[in-house]
Amino acid sequence: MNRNIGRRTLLKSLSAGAGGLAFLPLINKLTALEAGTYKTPKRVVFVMFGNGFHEKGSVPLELPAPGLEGKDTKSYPLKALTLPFDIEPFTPWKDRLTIVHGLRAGPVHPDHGAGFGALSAVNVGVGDDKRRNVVAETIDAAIARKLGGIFPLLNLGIDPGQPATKAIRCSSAWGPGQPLAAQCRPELAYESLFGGIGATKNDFALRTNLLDLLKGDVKALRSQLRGTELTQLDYQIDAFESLGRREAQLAKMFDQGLLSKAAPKLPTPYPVKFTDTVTAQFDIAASAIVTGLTNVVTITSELCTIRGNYTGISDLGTHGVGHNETDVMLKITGLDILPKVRRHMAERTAALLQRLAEMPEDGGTMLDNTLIVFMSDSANRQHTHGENWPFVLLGNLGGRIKTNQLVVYPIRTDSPTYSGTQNRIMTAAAENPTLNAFYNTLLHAVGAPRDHFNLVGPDQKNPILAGPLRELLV
Amino acid sequence: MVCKAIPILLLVVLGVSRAEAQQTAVKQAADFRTVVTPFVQRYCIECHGEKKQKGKLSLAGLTGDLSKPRELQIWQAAHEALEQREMPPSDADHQPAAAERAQVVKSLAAVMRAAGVAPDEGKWLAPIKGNYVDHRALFSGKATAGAAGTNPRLWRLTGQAYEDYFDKLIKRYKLNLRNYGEFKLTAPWNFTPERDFVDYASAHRVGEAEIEFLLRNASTIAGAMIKRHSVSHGSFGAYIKELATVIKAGGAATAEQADAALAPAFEGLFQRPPTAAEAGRYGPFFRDNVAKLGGPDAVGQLLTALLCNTELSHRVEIPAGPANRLAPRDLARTIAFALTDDGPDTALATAAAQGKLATREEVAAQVKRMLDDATIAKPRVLRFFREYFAYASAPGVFKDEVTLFQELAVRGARGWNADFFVSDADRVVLAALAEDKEVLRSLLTTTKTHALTVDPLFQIHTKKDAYRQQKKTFEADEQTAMKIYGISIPTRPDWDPHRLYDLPPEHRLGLLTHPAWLVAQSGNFDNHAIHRGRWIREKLLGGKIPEVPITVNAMLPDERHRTLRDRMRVTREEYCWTCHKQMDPLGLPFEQFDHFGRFRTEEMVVDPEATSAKKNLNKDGVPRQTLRKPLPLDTTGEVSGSIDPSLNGPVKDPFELIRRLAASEHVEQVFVRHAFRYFLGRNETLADGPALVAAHQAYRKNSGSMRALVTSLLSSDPFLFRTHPSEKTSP
Repeated sequence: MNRNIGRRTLLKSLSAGAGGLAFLPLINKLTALEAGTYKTPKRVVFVMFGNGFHEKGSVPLELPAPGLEGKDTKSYPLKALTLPFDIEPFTPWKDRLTIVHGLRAGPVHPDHGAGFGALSAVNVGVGDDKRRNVVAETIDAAIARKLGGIFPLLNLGIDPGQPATKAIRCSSAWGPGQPLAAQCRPELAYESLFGGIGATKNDFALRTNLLDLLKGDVKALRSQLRGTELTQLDYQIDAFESLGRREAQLAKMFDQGLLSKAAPKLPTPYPVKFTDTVTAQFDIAASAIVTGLTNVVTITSELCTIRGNYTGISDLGTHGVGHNETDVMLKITGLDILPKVRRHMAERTAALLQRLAEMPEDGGTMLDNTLIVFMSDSANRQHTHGENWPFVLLGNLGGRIKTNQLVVYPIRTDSPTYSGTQNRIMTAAAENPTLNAFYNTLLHAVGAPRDHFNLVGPDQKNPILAGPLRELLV
Repeated sequence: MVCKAIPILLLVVLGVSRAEAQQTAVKQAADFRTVVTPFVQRYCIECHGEKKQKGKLSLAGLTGDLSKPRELQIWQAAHEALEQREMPPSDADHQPAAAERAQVVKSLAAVMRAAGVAPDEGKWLAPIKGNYVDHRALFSGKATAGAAGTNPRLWRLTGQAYEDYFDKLIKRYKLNLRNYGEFKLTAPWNFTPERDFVDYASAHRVGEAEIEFLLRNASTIAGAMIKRHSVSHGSFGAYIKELATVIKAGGAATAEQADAALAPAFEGLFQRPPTAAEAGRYGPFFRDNVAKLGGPDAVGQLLTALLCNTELSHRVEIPAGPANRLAPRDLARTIAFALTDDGPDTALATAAAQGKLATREEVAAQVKRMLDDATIAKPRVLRFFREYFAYASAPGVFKDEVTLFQELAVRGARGWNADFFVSDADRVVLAALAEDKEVLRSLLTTTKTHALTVDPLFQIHTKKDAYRQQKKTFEADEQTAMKIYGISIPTRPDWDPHRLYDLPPEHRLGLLTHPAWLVAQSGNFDNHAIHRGRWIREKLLGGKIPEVPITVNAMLPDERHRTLRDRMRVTREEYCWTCHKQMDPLGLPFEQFDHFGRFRTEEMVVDPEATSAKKNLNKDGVPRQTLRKPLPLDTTGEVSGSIDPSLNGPVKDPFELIRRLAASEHVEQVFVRHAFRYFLGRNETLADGPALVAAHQAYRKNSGSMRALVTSLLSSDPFLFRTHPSEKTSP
């Protein structure tokens, strides 16, 4: 790559159509190149879904569970293996694929969704407390701190079959007591990122002025408050300021015509069904990434708990689906519905991969510098004890992640089956790494290594728990 | 003991200069030596030293070096235990003075911060943390130093109140706007499920997400208002003609037109003119926008800004008058939103305008008027009981088809509907409020319930509907509910939604035995004796339960062939029992009921032998169904550790426990403390003691009247005055 490329050359190289969507990254790149600080940006996307990632849906067909058990960590090349129905859409991307089995939940309680525990890998309690207790930074936020962006962390939610839900805090947090809200409505997320649909005037610029005025209103009360009440108000003032900065950046992009060019087309009327909402949220995520609005996205379906219905696939409640109840209309049981749900998520993820693969970047494509973490918020099943937390990784993040392999940490396969079926549950050995080691591996991969990720007490000094997992890194 | 290594590097990273970092580290090391070490030697080392290590914990040899994981873990736990007054234990020989405790807590917090572990101070604002204020001191009747007022604050309105405002605006201006389902302009308050009281003033923060949604709601309404005012007035709906003038002028709109429209816009949205300060801020903003954007967009900006005004989303409780009083209009709003989801009614607004909210008696008269007037809906009063008893979450406790079939013998989800229980419990509360005699006691001991009251109006709109309803037989879920209650209504015409049905007196005693509460305090497959016990400990006994330590794996063994009490043996291990002894013995008597809220005399557990017997296996060798067998029921429990010694002692069943609690004055005082928190929106402090005593006396003198209790709270100093704790009140 010619590092001395000039502004004129770069602008000339910009073409209309798909390539033009990468305009902002190019501008940023240009500035960085001129300053001599350019590095190819890295991007990480977390795709989370509920009800568990069954072993049957994540282990290649040629490797039935009993054959995987053992006391050693094993690695199998994926090239010649057949992916199961749930993740079959990843078949064209097998050379960029890594499947991991045998990680433990550790202190997290993933039963019915781990809440804030799924991405923080700390104990946030049980039951509803898991969605209330925000006691630590989550991995997506930790990565976002490193990778930055106008939207440092874009958090998109899908509340299955419940289109009235607009936002919810469920998965991600900058730190203790600092949760982020997941935008659950595609049209609202669209508006935040790209402006009103079909907007001809610069709402971002207007909002910047408005935010200034409103901030002034709130600030005027400041002198009359003290203590806790003042802290609350200052939090609000900070939010006004941060929003104002963001809107100002977006206003510039709007004026340059970048946002409308990059914005996805949302279906009309706006999506209501689970399946359509998932599709729309993935489209928004893809556009936000290629436009350079964000480098870290978390898409969380079912909001780290069990709720709603997978409308578009089955009207049976998601909880009943996980309990293998029967959809009397479709005459199929829950464990036949779940693979369809996961497959839909996989199809949309594959479409995102395709979109990134079409975006040229530094002699390659955007996909070359991207990693997608495809996982469940409740380990391997709905009523799990966290005995095995499967992950699928897609992309190698600029050559940092070892791909084309199934990694299985020491595991037992003599555990019970799901709900009276023949589908086997696998149980990781008690000494295996936990999510903490896996997440620290991701931090190493993005260039923000830590001694450990959210370990407590003596565990911090345990190299198995601290990570990184050498099997996954190049 | 010497603190060797407060991490200087961390402070450097945080933007503090190296010299400052060194100074801070040296100061904290000194603090540790002079404050923490002597404290530990005086109060802790006897039980946690070299000779004795209670709970396997020794503090001997610790240096205060929090870069060592072990020390960090210990000092974090110590900080919490000291702050929560769990240590030294109440039976210890030596107890630190309050100031001494406060100093050591502060020093430890500073050392932790320096180590990069910030204590989560926000958690102390949560309602349940109010229990950490000394109960005896609160009700001692002794005045304490400090002002009996609430800090000036912004208290967000309930979601319902915020949404109702928009509903009314849409109706008043006949706006062509869909405001339902996914298009509903919802309050951005419920992004996180709340425990205890939902709308708590001190526990909420408005962040980016909330602001974005407030803006979005406001701009949606503003857009519809512009459309509405772009056409001629017509004969429908309200209309702000000065705004219409600006809009219709388009790009030719003038500053004069803008100036003329400002006050009408305020009147149109808030029913009041702008204050001088508001006119000073909004006037130039509007004029500039008129010049830059033209009429319609400028009006859009103005309306959006006004509809994001703090007044529409919050009660602004900042004293405006002398003696730290709220301005009459703000006080009237504060009273109205304490009881309802709406602003002041005409009588209250008039009283405010005429200066008749100037004395405690005048305020009390208005509150009493509203409470006595049955035509005024007071949803916040019912909500207090819903949130206090925490029974409304029952429908969220999922019961799967297999469990319903095997344990309740009903087929499919149509046979189960916990909404009945919540609705029925609501009506039990409303009936007690209407009676207004010994409200808490009657709710704890009633043997009656309404039945099957889920929105009867939804089904019965006309005489024809009523006729059809009578012809129908009871649905499967209605039959299940009756079975669980243990009542029988022969035919639908016999059913009366307004009637309190008698429950079997030997099976039920108050809301804690009502299926709504029992189901809400259950899991998907089991009772939750710990939750039940915790509720009683915190909400009736005023006890303190620490958070589950993050190192604890809070799971019971999956041994379905044993009783719950048996499986809970793990909580009796020494490390767990310190906390669990406060909950389990209070929750286990409710084993008298199953997780559907059904009275029982034996506990059904999985029978592994029968389940895996050949005759129960299908052709694949998988059991056809899980078979069960009965085991004897143990409903004994114990009250211990209550500061009211008359409550302590074993109980043979839930009924004995409830009777003892219901007769207790201490329990009544704890109830009053919760009412204070709910209606004041914050945790009590020692300075609030006189107000709590007065509220309890009002309740007692009026034979357990909730109206008297609420009236007392809403006319108390903490409600009327806004002052900082350091200031003296001047009532």
